[in-house]
Amino acid sequence: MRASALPGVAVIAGFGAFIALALVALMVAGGSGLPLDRLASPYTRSLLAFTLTQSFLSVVLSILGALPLAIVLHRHQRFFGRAALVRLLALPLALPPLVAVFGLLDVWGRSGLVSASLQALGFDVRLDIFGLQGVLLAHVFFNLPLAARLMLTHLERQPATTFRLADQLALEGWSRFARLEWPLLRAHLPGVAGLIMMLCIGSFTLVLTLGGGPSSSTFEVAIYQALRFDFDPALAALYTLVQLILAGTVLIFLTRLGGAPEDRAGALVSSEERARPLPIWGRLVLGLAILFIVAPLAALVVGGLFAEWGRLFGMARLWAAIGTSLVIATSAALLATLASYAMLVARLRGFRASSQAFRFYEAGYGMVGSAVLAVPPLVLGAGWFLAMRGWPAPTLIAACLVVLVNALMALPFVLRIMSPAFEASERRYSALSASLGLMGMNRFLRVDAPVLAKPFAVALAFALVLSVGDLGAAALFGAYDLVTLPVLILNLMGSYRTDDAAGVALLLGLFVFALIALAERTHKVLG
Amino acid sequence: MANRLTQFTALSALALAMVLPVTANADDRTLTIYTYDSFVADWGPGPVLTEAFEAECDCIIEWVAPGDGVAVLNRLRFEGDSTDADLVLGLDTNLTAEAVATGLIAPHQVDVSVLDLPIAWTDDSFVPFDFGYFAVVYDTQAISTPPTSLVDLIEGDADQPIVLQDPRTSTPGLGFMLWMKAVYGDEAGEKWAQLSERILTVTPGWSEAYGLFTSGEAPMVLSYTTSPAYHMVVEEDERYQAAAFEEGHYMQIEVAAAVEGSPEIDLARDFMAFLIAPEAQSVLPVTNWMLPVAPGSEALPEPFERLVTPADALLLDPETVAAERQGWIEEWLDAMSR
Repeated sequence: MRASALPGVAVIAGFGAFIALALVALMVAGGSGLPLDRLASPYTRSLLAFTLTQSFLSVVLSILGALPLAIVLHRHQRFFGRAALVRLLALPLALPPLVAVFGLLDVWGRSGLVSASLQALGFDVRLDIFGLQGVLLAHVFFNLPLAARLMLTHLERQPATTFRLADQLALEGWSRFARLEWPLLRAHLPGVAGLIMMLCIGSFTLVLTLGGGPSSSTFEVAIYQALRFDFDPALAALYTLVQLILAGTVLIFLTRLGGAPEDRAGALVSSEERARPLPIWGRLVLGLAILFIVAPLAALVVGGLFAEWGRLFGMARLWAAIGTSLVIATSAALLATLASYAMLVARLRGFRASSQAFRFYEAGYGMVGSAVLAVPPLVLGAGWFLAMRGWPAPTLIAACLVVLVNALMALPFVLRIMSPAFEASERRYSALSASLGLMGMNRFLRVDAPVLAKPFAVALAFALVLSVGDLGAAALFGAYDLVTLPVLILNLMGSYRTDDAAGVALLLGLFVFALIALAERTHKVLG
Repeated sequence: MANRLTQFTALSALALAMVLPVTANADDRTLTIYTYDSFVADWGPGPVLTEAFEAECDCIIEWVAPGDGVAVLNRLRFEGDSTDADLVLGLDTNLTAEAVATGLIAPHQVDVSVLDLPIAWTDDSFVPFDFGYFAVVYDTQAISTPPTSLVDLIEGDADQPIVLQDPRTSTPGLGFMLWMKAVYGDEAGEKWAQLSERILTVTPGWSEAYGLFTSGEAPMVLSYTTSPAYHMVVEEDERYQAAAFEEGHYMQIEVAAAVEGSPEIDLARDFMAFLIAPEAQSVLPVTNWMLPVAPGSEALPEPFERLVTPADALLLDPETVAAERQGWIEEWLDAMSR
C-alpha cells in the first residue's frame, strides 16, 4: 500500500464504521439479543421473494430500454432538444417518490391521459396500474433515464480514435452496435445494473402505493415496521443486515457476469462528430423516451401551476426549506465528490494490482460503492441518534448526520460517473506524471482537474440532485427545524394542501434543473 | 481552483450556521413540546397557540416535531430519561399504552370536567385535546349512492374501489383495521378477504391515499368525518363528502401528557389546561381539522354542523390494542393475500 491509498482507505473505513456503529447502537438498544427466529417466518420469506422479483425485473426492463436511448444520444450529437433531454435524464431521480407517483398516475392511472385517450377513441378500457406492473413502471421511470445517462457518460469517455476508426470503416447500424458499442458497454453494465438493483431493493413508498396490496411489500417495509410501530431496534438492525447481505450477494454475482474493462488508450477529446441522419428507429426511440420520461414530468409541471403562489411565497417555511435544502445538498455533494476522488485515487494508484491489500480494498470499495444503498437512511439515523444521545449541540450533530447520510447515498452514483474517465486518464497520463515528478495536489491541479472537470461536474450535479430530493435522511431530524423541500411537500400533502404541495414539487423540479445546468457550466470554469 | 473550493466550503459553513435555529433567550422559562409535524406547520394550530400561550405564561415554547405521532413516541423511547421534552402532544389512544410503558408519563392533574366527548374520559395521565371519527370519504361526482354501512362497503361494486392505508405503517390504516375488528371480531379476517376485491391499493400513509383520491384515481378513501369540513370551509367546495355507516364509526382521540421528571412540569400542566380551554378549542378544529373535545369561545364555521355524526362511537381500549395489534396485523396480511 502506498501513501496515495491513505485518504481512500480512510474514507472507506470511515463510511464502513458509520454504518456498522449505527447497527451496533440499535442492537445494543434492543438488549435481549438478536431475534433470529423472526427471520425464518413465511412473512419474511415472502417479502424477500417479492423484493428480489420486482428489483430483478426492474433492472432488466430499465437496461433494455436505456440501451437504445443511450446509443441514439451518443450517435447523434446535434438534434433539436438533445441538451435538454440529456439534462432531463437526471431529473426523475431527484423527485421524491411520493411526488413522482402523481406524475405517473396523471399519465398511466385509471383516469390518466392514456386511459382517457383510449376511451375517447371508443375503447372501453381503463389501465390498471396497481400491482406488479405499476411498481415496475415506476421503477423503470426512475431508472431507465439513470441507466441511459450513465451509459452515455461511459461512451463519451471513450477515446475519439475508437469512433473515428469506426466511421472510416463505415461501421453503422447494427454492426456498429455489435462490434463497437456493445463491447464497450458490456463491461459497464454490471455496475449500472448493480446500482439500479440496490435502488429497487430499497424502494418503499412506490412499492406500497402502486403495489395494490400488502402482497407487494419489500423487505424495507419490514425494517420500517420493526423500527416504528413495533419499536424493535434490534430486529430492524437484523433485517438491515439481511438486506445488506442480500445486496452484497447480488453485487458479487453481477461482478462475475461482467468481463474485465477493455483497455483502450487514446486521446480523451470528445469524438469528432460525423453528421448522420437520424434513422427511423432512432426517431422512434427518442419519441418513446420523451413520452415515457417527459410526459409524467410535464404532468407535474401542469399540476404545479394550480398552486396559490402568493400564499406559497409568503410562507416562511418555504424559504427556510429552500435554504436548508441548498446547504445540505451542497455540503453532501462536495463531500461525496471528494470522497469518491480519494477512493478512486487509492484504487488506481495506491496498490500493487496483485497484492492481498488490493483485493481487500476492492471488497470495501464494492461495498461502500453500492451496497450502502441497501441500508435505509431511517436505520442510519435512528442508530446514530441513539449513539449520540445526550451529546451537546444536537442541532449541529443532526445537520452533520443528514449531510453524511446524503453523501453516503450519493457515493455509488458519483463513483460510477467518475471512475470510467478517471481510469482512462490514468492509463494515458500516469507514466507522464511520474516522469515529470507530479504528485499530490500538484498532480491533482495540473493533470486530474482539467481532464476530469466534466465528469466531476456531472458527478457533483448528480449528488446535488439526489440530496435535494432526499426525504429519508432529512425527515428523521425534522426535530431541529431541518425542513427541506421534500419534507415540506410531505407536510403540505399531509394537511390537505395538495395543490400547494404540487407547487413546491414544481419549484423543486425547477431548482434541480437549474442545478444540473449550473453544474454543466462549472466544468468550463473548472477546466 | 483550490481557492474557489475553500471559498465554497466557507460559504456553505456560513449558510449552515444561518439556518440553524437561534437559541432562546436564557432569562425566560422554556417549555419543550414534542409533537407531530403538521401540528406546527405554518397553517397548523402551533403558531396561533404559541402566541396565545406565550402571552400569558412568561415563557417560550420550543416545538420539536420528529415526524408523525408514532415518531414522537419513538423519540421519547429512544431518549428515555434524558429526554428534553416537558410535554408530548399528538399521540392517539392506540399509542398511549406503549407511551405509559416508557415510564415517562406523569399524571396530568388537570381539571377535565369541561370535556364533552362521546365517551367518558377516565384516564389520569393523558388529556384529550381533539378527536375525530374515521370515515369513508367519497367523491360525489363519481358516486351517487355512497355505502351506508361497512357491509355495504364490503359487498359493493368492485368497479368503485377504495384506497386504504397500511396498518403496518400508518395510523389511519391501523384505525380502520381496529374498526373492522370492533365490528366483526373473529370474523374480521373473512370480511377483509371479501373487501380486498374492492381495494384499489393500500398506501404507506394517509397523504398518498388522499392524494390518489383527490387526483381522481379512486372514488373513495379512508379518512375522517372532518375531511369534508376542510374542503367546504377553505376551498368552498362540496364535492367530497363522508359516508355515514350504520355500525358506527371508530374514533381517534388525540392526547397530550406531561413528562415525568421534567423541570417545567407545572408549565406543561398549564399548557394542557390551556389546550382544553375555550380559546384553543376554537382554534384546533379549523387548523387541525378535527373535532373539539370541549366548548369553544366562538361558534365553528357552518359546514361543521353538516358533518356526519355517528350513531355509535367505537373505541377499543389501549391495552387490548397494544397486546393484540401484532396478531391482528398478521390476520390482516393473511386475509389480504388470499
